[in-house]
Amino acid sequence: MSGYQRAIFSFIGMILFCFTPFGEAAHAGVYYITPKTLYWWMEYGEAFTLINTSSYLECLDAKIPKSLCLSCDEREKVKTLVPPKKEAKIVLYDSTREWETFCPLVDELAKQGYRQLYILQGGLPAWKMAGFETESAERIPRIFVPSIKAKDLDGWLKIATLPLLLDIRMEDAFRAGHIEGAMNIPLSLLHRKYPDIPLNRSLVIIDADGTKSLLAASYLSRKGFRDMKRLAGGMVAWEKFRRAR
Amino acid sequence: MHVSFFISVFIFLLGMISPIGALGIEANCKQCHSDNIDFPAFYRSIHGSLGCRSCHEGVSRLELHLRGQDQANTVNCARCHQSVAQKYRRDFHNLKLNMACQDCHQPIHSLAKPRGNAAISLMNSCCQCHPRAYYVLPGHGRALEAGNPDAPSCADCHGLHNIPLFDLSAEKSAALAREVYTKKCISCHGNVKMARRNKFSTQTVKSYYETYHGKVLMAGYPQRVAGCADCHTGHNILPKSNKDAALYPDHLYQACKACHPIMHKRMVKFDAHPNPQDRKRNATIYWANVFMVLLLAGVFLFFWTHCVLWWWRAYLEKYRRGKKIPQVSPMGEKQIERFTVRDRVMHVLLVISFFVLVLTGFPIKYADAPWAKPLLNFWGGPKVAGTFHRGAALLLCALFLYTCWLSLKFLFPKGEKSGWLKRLFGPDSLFPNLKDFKDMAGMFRWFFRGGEMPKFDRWTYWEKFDFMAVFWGMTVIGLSGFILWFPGIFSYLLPGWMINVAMVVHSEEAFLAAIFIFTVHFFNNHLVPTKFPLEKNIFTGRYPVEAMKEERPLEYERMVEAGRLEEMKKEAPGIGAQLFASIFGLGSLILGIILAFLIFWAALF
Repeated sequence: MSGYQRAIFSFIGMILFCFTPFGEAAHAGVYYITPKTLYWWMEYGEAFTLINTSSYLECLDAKIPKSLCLSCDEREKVKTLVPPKKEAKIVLYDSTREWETFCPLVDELAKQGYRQLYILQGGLPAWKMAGFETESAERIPRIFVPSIKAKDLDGWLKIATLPLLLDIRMEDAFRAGHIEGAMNIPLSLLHRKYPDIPLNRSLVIIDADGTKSLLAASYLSRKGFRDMKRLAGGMVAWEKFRRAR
Repeated sequence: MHVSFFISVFIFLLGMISPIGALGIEANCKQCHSDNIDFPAFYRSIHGSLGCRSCHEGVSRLELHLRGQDQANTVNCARCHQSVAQKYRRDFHNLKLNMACQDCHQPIHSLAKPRGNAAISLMNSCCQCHPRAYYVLPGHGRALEAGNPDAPSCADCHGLHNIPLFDLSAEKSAALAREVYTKKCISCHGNVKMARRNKFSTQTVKSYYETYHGKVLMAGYPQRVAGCADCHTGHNILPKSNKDAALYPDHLYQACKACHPIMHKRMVKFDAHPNPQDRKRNATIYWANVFMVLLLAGVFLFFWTHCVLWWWRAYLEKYRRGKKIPQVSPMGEKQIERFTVRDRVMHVLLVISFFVLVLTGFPIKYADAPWAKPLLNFWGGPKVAGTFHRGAALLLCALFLYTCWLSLKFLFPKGEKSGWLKRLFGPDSLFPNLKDFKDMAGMFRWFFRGGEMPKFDRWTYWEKFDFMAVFWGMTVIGLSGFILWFPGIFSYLLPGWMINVAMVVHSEEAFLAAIFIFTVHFFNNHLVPTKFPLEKNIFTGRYPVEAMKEERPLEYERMVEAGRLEEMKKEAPGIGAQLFASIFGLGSLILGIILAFLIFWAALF
């Protein structure tokens, strides 16, 4: 093989190496499960652990009966809450979305050797859509919280009296991109960290797609916060607005 | 008298018992819960006649309840409001936000019947969370507040307790929402009576369906086209002169850019609601349409008349003389080579590309036809059909360019420049000459028994028309096709309304080409009684000497005179070539006739 040919093959090899999906290895043994199958597992007494990976507040608000509340960023609790048998079936689901893309819990469970991980297709909305019951440990009554469009927020940020932007997404998502000056308290930690939020500031609550901010605002209103708004459509709407601009 | 007295007393006592009981329980509730609940307001509310325990069930022993051990069950509104609860199970607010009845119906303990206009009350309720400035002040909301009974409230478009969560996946959800809401808009904006009352035109809807966006959406594929809200947005509906309007050019530019990332600002001049009949509004589209209609009418009037007269004359001739042009020669006899292998391969490729273009393009042109969606499904949806359409178009372009190259080689063989005019108008050329016009006149004389059928040379005038029409057709349909393929790139060269013109031209020229081929070309070459059902020489390349003498006597004489006849003779086509010609040729013929029928069906009904 000439030097020229070797160089070409090395280059192709390098490119192939770059695109090799090594990341997938962490998700080996992760399967999808439909609400109907989960329901039948429950009916026929199949042994499995059901985990609601949303925040503590969402999990209190609504969950599939017999679910554990273990949010995506509570990796450290895996050892104490999840059964030690690595062959155990574990079903994970999110409260509002099909699946939380930034969920390190799956990686953590896979790393600890759990081989039968299932993700509920469509999450809690799909479960409800299928007509199956949910339970509420402590429901947070919703209040009317006006939403604000990305365009108006952009205008608002330019005036002198700035609102406090409270980004309730997970840390990874926040780090990947956020509105300048925003404060990050993930929804999963809000019940512990809300005292850090100054009471005298008006708040704009920002989530990923506009589905979690109402719950956060309703919870904060019980803790004495009054002047609150929600970013309509969350960061998805904000990014769309920025791209259009 | 006695009986009625006792009955009255019994009814009075019965009536007294329940309120006393209820008040007794409520008196207990009030003692602890009056801090949170405004009881006088509750008595005035819509649920005021019910006791606390009607909703808050499960408290059986007060002393335990007071100790916090006997809690009331979760309130279940569905016990009375069953049908609403049933609908609400699939409502967006329930599925995604886990909102319960009392979250919207606030404050739940003092709910009153809505006063005044229920639609406005509902709108105000929605606007507690959804910004009023966007949803109410402009457009529909303002009209509703001004008292227009036709103006929709939130629920008219979104539903009341059944606001749909279209799909759990965001992408599918957006496509389904586009389809549902576009149909919602059309249900009012396409309603003639409502249009008359509110002074808007239903033409807006009709013309939307004339665009690519409308046609694909109508065919049931909303994923990759613009619905009403993509340009107008859902709520901010203002006249386009208003700077806040979605249709204000700057905003429209952004809306177009969402799907057409590479585009010039002038693309916003594309008319999403063109009306080819409106000369004032769309002058260029109007004149393009008039030109195409006249072209179609002229071509079909002439050639269909030609076909009918020819059929009538040939039919009589055939039965008078029992004569048919021989297609098969005796075993072992050599045949004349009319088309080379290259010509035949080109024709087969042409047939394939043409059918692919028709089968993928016409379901979009006639998106409302019952056969459109099954045909698009056959391809795997409009996206895949579009890919095949473009692939076939490129093949056709390549064939066209190769034909141009061959034509140049014919005119200038081996770079020889002299004598090209002689070759252009010569008997082997496909370019029309004076004799063709004489032949045409002679043919009409023959139709009416005014003379003999003209003697033809290598190419007849209708074959020359087929050939020359390709130069016009390919230029027009090819150019317009490329504009429609790359509207954004062409917007750097052309104004946006040229896309509308390209749409009209492409569509009408496609109709002309397809119907011409499936009727006139098929008749002239295969269905005329002297050749029926199939002339195979375009696929086999050869035909008997007798057929040459009959069909092209001048060419025969010319070849005999030049002593070239023998060199034109080749072995008769083998069984494989014959079989291929029959299957492919007849298959194409039948498919073409079926397609012509479907196109006429869609165009006329």
